[in-house]
Amino acid sequence: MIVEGQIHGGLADGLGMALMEVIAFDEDGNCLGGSFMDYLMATVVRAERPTSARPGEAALVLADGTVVGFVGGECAEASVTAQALGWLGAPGALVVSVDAVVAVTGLSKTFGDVVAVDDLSFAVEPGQVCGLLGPNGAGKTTVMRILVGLEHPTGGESHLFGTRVSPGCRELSRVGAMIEQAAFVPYLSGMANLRLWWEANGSRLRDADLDGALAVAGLGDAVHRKVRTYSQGMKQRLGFARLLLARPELLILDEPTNGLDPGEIREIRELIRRLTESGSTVLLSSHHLTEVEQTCSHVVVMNRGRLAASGTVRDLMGSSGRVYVEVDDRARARAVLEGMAGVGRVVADGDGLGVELHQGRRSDLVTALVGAGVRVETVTGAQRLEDAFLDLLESGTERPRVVG
Amino acid sequence: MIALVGAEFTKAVRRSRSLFFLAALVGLPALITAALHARGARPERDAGEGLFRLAHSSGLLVPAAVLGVMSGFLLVVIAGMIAGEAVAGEAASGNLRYVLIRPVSRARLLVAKAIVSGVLIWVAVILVAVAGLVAGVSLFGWHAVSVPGVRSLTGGSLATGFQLSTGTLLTRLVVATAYVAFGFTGLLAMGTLFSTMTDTPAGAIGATVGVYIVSEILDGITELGRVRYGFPTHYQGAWEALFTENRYSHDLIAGLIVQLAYLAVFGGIALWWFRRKDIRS
Repeated sequence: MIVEGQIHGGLADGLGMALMEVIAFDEDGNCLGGSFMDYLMATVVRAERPTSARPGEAALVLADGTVVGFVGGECAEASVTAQALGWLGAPGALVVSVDAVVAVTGLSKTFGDVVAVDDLSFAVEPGQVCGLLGPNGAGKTTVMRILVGLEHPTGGESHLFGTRVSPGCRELSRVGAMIEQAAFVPYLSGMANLRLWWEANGSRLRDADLDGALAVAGLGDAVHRKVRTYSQGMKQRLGFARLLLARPELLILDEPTNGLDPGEIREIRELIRRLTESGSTVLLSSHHLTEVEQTCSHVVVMNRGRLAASGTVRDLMGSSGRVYVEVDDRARARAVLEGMAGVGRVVADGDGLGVELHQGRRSDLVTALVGAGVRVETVTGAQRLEDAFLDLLESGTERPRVVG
Repeated sequence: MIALVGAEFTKAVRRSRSLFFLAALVGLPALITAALHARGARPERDAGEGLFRLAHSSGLLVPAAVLGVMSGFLLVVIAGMIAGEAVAGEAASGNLRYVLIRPVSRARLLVAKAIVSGVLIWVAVILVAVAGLVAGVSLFGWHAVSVPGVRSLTGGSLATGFQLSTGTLLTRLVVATAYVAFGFTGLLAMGTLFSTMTDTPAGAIGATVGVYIVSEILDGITELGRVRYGFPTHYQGAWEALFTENRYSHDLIAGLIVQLAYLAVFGGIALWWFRRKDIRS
């Protein structure tokens, strides 16, 4: 099937989707920015759909003969890339995904001379629990504020459910967001705050998931007390209740455990875990890397407003080139590993050893240890997300690292 | 829109200080009336005090006298607080961002807040008038008023006297109350604009009340000539002629036009500004 036409007219109609609402990845899975999308839209001459293509899949042929894979559906990025390259038979083909719940392309935001966000592109697919990481001032909160329409980007675009974000846009009804700390009308009760917030745009309280939200908040009778009497933890829990009223498909949580004591952090972390288990898509920023490691499936790392890395948590930890090994005899294992080719520094870490692998494979490492009579309890990727994160920031690479 | 206005109204009236203002709006007119009654009529000393001098003649004139006093300060402060806190108050508590991350247009939210501000200042002015009326009629009775003419030192007539029936007094009281309430339109529009420009409600309130004070001061400088006609407070006392001169002054119309102009200009700027503003609170 061949669909021909202008990019803003027949072609987009033929594909059944608006090209303004797509996000693109190259063959390595790197997310491509707004300039590429401009180029794409200016140069597409026709779209082709092989008979084997699924709904949403197509090949876009550009004016210079380049073939671009255009893929919708609920595919993971990596499999999409491989599949597109396969059926296009075109090395260097590009893959475009239209189904991202969150899609940010070429996003920039400046405040005077300060660049808060610089040409940032990433996507969060349905069902992903994505951590947005970065040091203070990396631009995480600014990105989240732009995503919910609180701030206007200086350049680029942000999309929710395929629709460009604007202040008060309809797609926000599908989003539950907590930006920085939860805040309420302090002189009203928790319940009055929930009711007022929900009913302000004409919704009826009986349509909200009030019971579910209150159960999640777990405030009991305190929900009828004025919010000004609440602890920060109670406010955060009420904040979760508020964002859950609409049964959101996407949760945007900015530092949800900031300012809480350890007990409250644990409660909120448990709450997030329950929410993610229910299948919601989540974009979560946090300074607590343990929280991200335990909660998130994917991460986007920002540094000085730019994308530093993106991919799965597992692969990001693995990509640091470190493995963590737990053995019964640490001294013997250390001696064995230090003598192995392709192994760098070996350091004691907790109950195990941190090992830098330059070339060797984990299986070689295990074979060598077992061969030397050392019992191997655990071999994992970089032992902590924190290490991978710090490595990433210290390396300060210009090009973003895409893993997974 | 009705739901949005309802929500904003709830937020505005359920502040704890609302009760304090309610007490002041009802209690002060009663207090002023009681003081006026206790002092007794002293025409030779009260000459020139206009409405207060006439108020001894009939309780129906007391609310006008009270409005004249309270529209110069307390109601100005209340208008400043209502408008200044509308957006900045929510920004300061951090709640504004949660109001705006729903599918609600910023323009509609601001209009809803402005409607609530307008309703509240009308309610405040009406409360003052009604409290003054009840207190006035209780202490001075329900009478028609006879206003004596004014003679010059040479014996010529400067102004002829006239009678105001109770029906006329009541009608003019309604007109005066409405005019006083509408006279805060420009101030509310400016206060709403200031409120969108800061996250500090005290700053927005101060700026709003400050504009009123500066306008009053500048309006007193006659050398400024016709420029003064554009000041938001220039025509604020135009309604007093209804009682003291027995006429509907052209200044009433001029005052309405000036207020509408302020509403259009500052309301328009507030909408434009709020829609493009980054919410960083």
